[in-house]
Amino acid sequence: MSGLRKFLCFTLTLLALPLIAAEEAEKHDPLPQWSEEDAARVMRGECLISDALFRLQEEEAEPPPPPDVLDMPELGPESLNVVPPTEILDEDLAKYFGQKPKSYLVDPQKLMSRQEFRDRLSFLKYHSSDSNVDFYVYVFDEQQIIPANIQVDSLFAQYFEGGRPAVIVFYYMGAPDRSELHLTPELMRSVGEGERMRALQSSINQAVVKSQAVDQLDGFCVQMSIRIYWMEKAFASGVIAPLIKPEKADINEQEQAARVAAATSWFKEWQLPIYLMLGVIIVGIITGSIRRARQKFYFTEYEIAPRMSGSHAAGVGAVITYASAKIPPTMQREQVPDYLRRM
Amino acid sequence: MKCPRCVQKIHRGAEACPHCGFCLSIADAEFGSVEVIVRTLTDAAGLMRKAERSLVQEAIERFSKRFPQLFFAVYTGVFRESACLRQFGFWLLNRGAFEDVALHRPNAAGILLVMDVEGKAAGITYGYLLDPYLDEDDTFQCLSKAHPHWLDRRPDQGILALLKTLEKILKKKSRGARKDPKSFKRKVTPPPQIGDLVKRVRSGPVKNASQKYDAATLAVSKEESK
Repeated sequence: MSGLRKFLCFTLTLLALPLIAAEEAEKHDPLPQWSEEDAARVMRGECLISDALFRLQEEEAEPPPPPDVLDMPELGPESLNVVPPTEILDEDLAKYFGQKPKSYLVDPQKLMSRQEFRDRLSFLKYHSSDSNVDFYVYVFDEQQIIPANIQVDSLFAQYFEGGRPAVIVFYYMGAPDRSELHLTPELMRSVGEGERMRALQSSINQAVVKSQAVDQLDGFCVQMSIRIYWMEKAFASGVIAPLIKPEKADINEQEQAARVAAATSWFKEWQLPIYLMLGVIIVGIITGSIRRARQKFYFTEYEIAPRMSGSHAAGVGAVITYASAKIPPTMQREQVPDYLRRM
Repeated sequence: MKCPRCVQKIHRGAEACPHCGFCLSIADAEFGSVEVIVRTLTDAAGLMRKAERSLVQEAIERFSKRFPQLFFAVYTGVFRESACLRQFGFWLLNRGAFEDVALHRPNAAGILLVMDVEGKAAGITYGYLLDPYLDEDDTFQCLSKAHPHWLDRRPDQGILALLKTLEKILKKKSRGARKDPKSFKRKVTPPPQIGDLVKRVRSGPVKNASQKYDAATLAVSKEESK
């Protein structure tokens, strides 16, 4: 009996434990109470129970902002020493435009990683080894603006004078549509404005379809390289005369005038002998032609025994008939002996 | 060298054609045995107009000036047979007296063009002087140049073209004869007699250049006679 009593006590204790735990939980964390209005909304389907629970949790999870950060005063650009995105530092400008570029890819601001730089540079080197027109790319940041006081065309004309023709592109990383195209003067005269614009636009079109800035640069460079091939063709065909600088033209004119003067003086000095020589040559030609026209031809006379009792002649030549225009003369050569005809 | 009648080859100095027996007496029987007086341009058939005749006459005179030994004559007529042109040419050049040709130009230096108006044929005959310099092919070349003009019924132009070609050929031959007279002499030199050959063989080896030349000529002649 005592064993049965212990078993019953243990079972009742196990059943009573959840009830005790629920009472204790209610004391520390009370369950939410549904208002009648919420219950009505849930019943109509206007409110989901889960939304209400999660919103409640989010509201509870959001920590209040620390009062010290909110109260911190806003700092100006001067205080942080930040360069505006449109500006290029003077030292970088000097690296860009202070000298003729030593590399086909100019990126003094390190806008690309070292590996990205190497990859693009190798492509540009390959292009220049394969083409007669060099291809330089100056890389700028997306919003940077080249100062207006820098005369890019005159600088390039100075740097690339006497060298190979070159195409120089100002490429703005992340903004290929801002790209600018510059050509060396001799190439500029070979390639028309329309062709330059088409080359730039098609390169931009190839670039903008890519999402990454370096990929855009890749697409731009490849397309521009293709367009440079056609520029090279136009340049090689010699569409336009070679560059003659005004100063040189003046010098040439002076030299030419001097040469003409020298030639004229030389001609004046040798005028008489030249005329005499010409006269002699002309007279010689005329005399020769007259002599040839009057030339007489003689034949050696040999003693020839007469034939067929003919005292003067027995040389029988050819006989030809001209009865038909359809038969050639060789076919109309008369070869039939007379006595056969007569018979 | 061919017979005017049978057009067979005959040897130098043949009194009559060994094939058909043709000789001048047979031609005389055909065309007449007396000498006939003709001019260098005798248009007996009335083939050419006056202007055309004068053109041809001028060309004939130019030819005579260019070749002081030679003369060129044209005879147009009507013949029964076209093939008898050769015989007529042979006869006329032997029996004809060209009244407008200077005496220092014998008939042996003449070149005669005979045109048969009815038979539409033309042939050339030439004198002994031209034997080494002209042959049948040369005369055919001249006639070929005239052929298209004659087909177009422009006899004067045909004769002018013929004369032009003939002048070219003769100039070439004249220059050739001046440079290398032996080659032309060989054509007309009679083959040496056997007695001469024996005499030369007995006379011993050749001593000088002229004798060398004679020996060479003899060798060539010997080959020809074979």
